[in-house]
Amino acid sequence: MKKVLVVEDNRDNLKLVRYALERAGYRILAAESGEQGIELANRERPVFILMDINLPGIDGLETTRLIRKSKGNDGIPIIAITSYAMVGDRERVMAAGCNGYVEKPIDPLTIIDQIHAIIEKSKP
Amino acid sequence: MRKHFAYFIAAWTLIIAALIGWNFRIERVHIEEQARIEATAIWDHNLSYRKWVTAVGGVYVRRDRISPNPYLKRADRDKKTTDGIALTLVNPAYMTSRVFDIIRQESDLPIINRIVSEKHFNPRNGPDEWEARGLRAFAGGATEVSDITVLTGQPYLRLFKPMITTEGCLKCHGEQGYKIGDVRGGISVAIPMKHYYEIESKSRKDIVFVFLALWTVGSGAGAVYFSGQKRSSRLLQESEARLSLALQAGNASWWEWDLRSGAIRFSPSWGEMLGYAPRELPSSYQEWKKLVHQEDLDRLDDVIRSQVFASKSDFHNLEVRILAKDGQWGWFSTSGKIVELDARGNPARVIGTNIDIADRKRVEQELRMSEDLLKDAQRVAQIGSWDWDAINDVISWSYEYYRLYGFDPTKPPPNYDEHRKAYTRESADRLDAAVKRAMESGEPYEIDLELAHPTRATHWVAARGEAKRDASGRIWGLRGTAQNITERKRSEEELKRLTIRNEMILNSAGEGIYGTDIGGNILFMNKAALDMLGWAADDVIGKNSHTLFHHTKADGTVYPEAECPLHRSLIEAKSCRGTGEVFWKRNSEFFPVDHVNTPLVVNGRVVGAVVVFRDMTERQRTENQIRKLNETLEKRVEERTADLQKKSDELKDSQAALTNIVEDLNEKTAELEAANEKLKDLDRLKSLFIASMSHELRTPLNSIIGFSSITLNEWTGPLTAEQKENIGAILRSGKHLLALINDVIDVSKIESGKLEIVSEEFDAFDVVTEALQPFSADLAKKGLSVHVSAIHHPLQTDRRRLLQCLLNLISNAVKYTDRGAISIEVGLAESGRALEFRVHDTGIGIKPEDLSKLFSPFVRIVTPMRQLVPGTGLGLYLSRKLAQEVLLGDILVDSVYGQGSRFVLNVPVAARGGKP
Repeated sequence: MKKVLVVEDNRDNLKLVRYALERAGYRILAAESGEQGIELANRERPVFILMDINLPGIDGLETTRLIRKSKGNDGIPIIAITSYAMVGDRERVMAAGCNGYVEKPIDPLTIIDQIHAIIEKSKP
Repeated sequence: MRKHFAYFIAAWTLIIAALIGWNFRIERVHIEEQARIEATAIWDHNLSYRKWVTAVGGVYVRRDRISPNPYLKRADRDKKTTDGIALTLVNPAYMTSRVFDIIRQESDLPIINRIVSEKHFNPRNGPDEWEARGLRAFAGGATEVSDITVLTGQPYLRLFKPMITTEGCLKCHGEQGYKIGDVRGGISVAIPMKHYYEIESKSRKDIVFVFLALWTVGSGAGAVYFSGQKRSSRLLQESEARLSLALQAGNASWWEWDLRSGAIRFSPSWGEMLGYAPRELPSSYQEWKKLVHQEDLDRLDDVIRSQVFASKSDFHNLEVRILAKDGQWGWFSTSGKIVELDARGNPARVIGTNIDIADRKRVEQELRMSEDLLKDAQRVAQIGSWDWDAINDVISWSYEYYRLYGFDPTKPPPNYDEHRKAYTRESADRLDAAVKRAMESGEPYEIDLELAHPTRATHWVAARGEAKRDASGRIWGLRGTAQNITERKRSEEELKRLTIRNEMILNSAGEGIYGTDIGGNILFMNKAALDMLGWAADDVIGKNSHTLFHHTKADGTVYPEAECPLHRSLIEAKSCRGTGEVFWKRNSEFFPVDHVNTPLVVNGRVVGAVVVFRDMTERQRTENQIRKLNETLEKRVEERTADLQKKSDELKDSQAALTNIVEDLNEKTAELEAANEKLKDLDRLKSLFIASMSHELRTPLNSIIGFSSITLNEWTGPLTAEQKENIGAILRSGKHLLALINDVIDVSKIESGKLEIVSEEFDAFDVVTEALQPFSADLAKKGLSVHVSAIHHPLQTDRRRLLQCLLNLISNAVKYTDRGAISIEVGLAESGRALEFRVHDTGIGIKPEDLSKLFSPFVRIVTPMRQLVPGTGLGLYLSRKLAQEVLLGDILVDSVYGQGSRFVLNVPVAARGGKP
């Protein structure tokens, strides 16, 4: 099964995402903090990473930057989960090294399609 | 000298003797030649007779006249005519022989003719000794032999020429063996020379006489010459002495320069001129050059080099300055003559003179100075002079004259006809007349002439001329001057103009003006003054003005002149005014005047005065009227002033009241400003509140929507129909709430100006496709058809906000339409700079009265017969705000109630003038 890393501190959100991804056939690696996310990313080499931006401690953008620094991780698609209508979100997310983003509130019915669209688009 | 004369006489005698001898010889040759010619003539004659007789074959003559030729041995020699006359044949030889005999007998000194031959028939015809030599010469080819010999004791010229055998000769001589062309012998002619010698002797006498005369004349001339020579030798010495004296008298001296040694010798007299003792004089050319002035050295060197050495020629009048003993410079004119050449033909010795020309130089200098002075004087005075010798028709002009007329001074002056073209026709005519009179009567002239082609500097000239007379008073020419008087003419014209102008000014003045001399006597008076006083100008000029019209005061008392302001101004040299006085008219009436007297000061001295006066009659009357008017006015002003004072007081009260009000207002304004500040704070607080609240609200909504959605889709297990319905209600409400929150945030951001605008380039068609996508399920459920007619066109604007507007419009269309179709069109607006997104539905439509409320926030159009359609109440408000403030376009609507609506979203293809 393909491994997917979800970095999300909100349990409810994590659960929603898990429903959607597992239904699509992915195995979920969950991290509740940035540090944990970096460790899992380096160790497990997931096929993609869903990254919540609002994290306690190091936030999602910093975590993304750190993941991208490690060798072999620069090819992993990272999709950010952002709040709606945060000023300048999109630019900041892309600058940190994410391939795209999905907006909160996430729609479990369509999130898989959104993620696949972003991964397709960022393929070279 | 005597010896020379002897030599001369000897030589002369020899020459004459030689000439005589020569002439004698010439004469002899001449005589002999003449004799020879005579002999030749006789010879030819003889031969001619012989030829004739030969040609006719002989001639028969009567025998009784001549004996027959004994040597003619022919049968037909003697004949007898029919009448018995005896004839004998005479052949050429016999005929000539007979003729020769006759000739010989004619004279004591006859011409001797002989026929000579070696083979002779007649023995007399045998050659003598001389003839025998001649015959031998003929045999050797000679054609003639002549000589002077002695025959019969007398000198004879003998000529001997051969006889050539012809056909006729053979008749007699053929038997002797001669052939044609042979020399048979010759005819010898001897001319006696006695007569020739007599002529010669006479000629010789003449020659001797002539040459003796020549000798005498020549010797005489020689004697004269030689005796003269002797005297001139003595004279030479005398003249040398005189020359030396003359040289000294002419301030001249000699010098001698030996070019081979370089030594130069100056005569002591030159040293005396310069104050040098003979031993102090320069002894070489180089030493001499030390005394020559620096400025003359080059010239001197040049002359010596180029003339003496190069072209070997003499030089003359080379002027050089020589330093005298006392340090002064002397002027000398030096000339040199080459008197000796060396073996190679180069100059070896030069002799010359030094002439003291100091005086001439001084005179030259003075002359030049005086010429310069005259030239300068003429230049300064702009006067040119000329001179005309009418007899020789010679014209001369001074330099300034050339300059004045602009002619070239290096050329001779033009003739009169040419010169007169310089003037205008009128001037030239006047000049002609003046010149004519001057030449005829000697009347001098002075006329102003105008130039035909004037320049700024020269336009008018004053021409003067006068006749030149010889001792007898006869006019033989003219001389004269021309002066440039252009400036004077201009001044005169200016003066005339000024005078006229002054007169005009004086006469146009309304005031009376007159001038007086120092004694108060009137010099001039203008028209106004004359009119006022009633006098004519001639009556007043020269009269004392005070006596004439200022003698009495208005009250009838006498006005002493000493008190008169005019008098005072003349005495005190300052302007004096008289007011309230009177002047008297001619008719003894008076009028009030004011007058001003201004002294005329020339070189600090008062020479007169100018008086300006005015008739004050009218003025006084006017002044009285003005005074009355003033009084009335003053009274009125006083009344008015009192009124104004009262009004002013009232105004002051009002002002005070107004000030209070303004102060109150200021206070209120300050309070309002404070309140406004507070409100602004509140507004900021509100925005902050809305932003954070909406964020916090959304987090729980995330769960509500997410989980209800999963559950409803039975991801967690099957649901009953009722459960499905209930959870569906939760999901719808959550979504509604989310939309509401999002709209509220957008509205809040727009209103606080914080909405982020993200401009990007995209295709209009794609946006429309994307906007339609979420509604596919609803449309299908409602059974509505969709028509899309969109163009592909690039847009540069905020894509997300455009999409939001379109979603809202399409959402409304779907919501309010139950049957029919929704059509979406995208096309360029008329301007070509904007795209129009037109969303058309066949829904319920909007009542006209509701159209105006349509875009207000939280307005829900109440529709009878219809349930309230779910919505936030902010959709159109927000969409229009976005269209206007973010997309820089607008949303317009038109609708027919019950039939449908059409919303048109207008979006510029490029925001803020960028490229589409």
